[in-house]
Amino acid sequence: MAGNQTILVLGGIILFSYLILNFNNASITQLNLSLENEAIITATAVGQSIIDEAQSRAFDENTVSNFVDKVADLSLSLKSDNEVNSTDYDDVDDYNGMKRTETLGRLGNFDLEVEVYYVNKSTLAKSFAPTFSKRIDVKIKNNYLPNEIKLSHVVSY
Amino acid sequence: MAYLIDVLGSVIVSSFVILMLVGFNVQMSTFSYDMFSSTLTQGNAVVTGQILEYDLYKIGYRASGQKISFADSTKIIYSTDLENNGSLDSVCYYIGTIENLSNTSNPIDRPLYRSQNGQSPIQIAAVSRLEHTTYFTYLDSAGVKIPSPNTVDLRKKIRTIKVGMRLQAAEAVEGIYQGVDWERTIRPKNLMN
Repeated sequence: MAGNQTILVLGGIILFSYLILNFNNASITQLNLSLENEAIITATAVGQSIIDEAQSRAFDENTVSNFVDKVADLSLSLKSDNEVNSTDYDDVDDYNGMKRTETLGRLGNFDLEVEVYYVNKSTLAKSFAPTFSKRIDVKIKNNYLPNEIKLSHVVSY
Repeated sequence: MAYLIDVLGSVIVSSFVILMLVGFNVQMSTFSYDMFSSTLTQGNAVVTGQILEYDLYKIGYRASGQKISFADSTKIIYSTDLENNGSLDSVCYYIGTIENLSNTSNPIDRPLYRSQNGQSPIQIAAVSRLEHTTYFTYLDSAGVKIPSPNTVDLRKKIRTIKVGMRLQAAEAVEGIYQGVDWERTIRPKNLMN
């Protein structure tokens, strides 16, 4: 009789432990999701800032001080033209290949990587020849993000 | 004797089970409140971000004279035609004092106020300062910080406004205030020239 009771009590404790383990598991998943959400909100704001910064510059090195009406007059290579710091950048494609790290108090480093390339205006597909549209892609990485976030923006001349 | 041992044993086991149940309930309610607080703060951060972006992008729209009439690390006053109706509006964003939010248990949160055309200010959010920056930072066309744009000429140089703040929960959960860091660089089109 005492043996049966002991088995019943042990069975109850095991079931209860299983419930607690499941609850802890759900709590951790929920906490991770919450952190991911927070990281997404912050990463989006930080990424959007770079896009804003880039699109405030001239469309192309050749349009900084001149007017261009033929695509042939646009730059073939998309990179910074002897500008060292982003404060010196004067056109959108100077940001191509730029890497920057924004450090914030709660979630640490947000690593940003920018890619700029010509796109076909109607299909938005990558174009290897110059066009009057450039696409800015910003990839953002952070330890709390499950995958990198990619923000895109197309600027046209 | 055996009967007494049985009773004592069952009392001890049931006490443990009750303790586990109480602990479980406490943990569950703490966790629920933590999640609620976290979700609320994140929602506030998103909405505050949207309000600030919507307003600050419009700085100087249809304003011919001074577009920004006051700018420091905790306050900005600017002119814009907010409703696109031909009449200029004056919009002010400023950070209140810790005492303005003394009804919350958070010791460092301050209100972010918005006021339009001199009307009573409306609290947008409860914020605190990020460690590495001020609430409002002003940059010129080269992206160089203008430390204190306290003259008309210095304010005319402003091209970019960097807003940085930590939105925090009013109440702590186990000593921790849930929060979201929000930092955004805004380049209003009407400050470009």
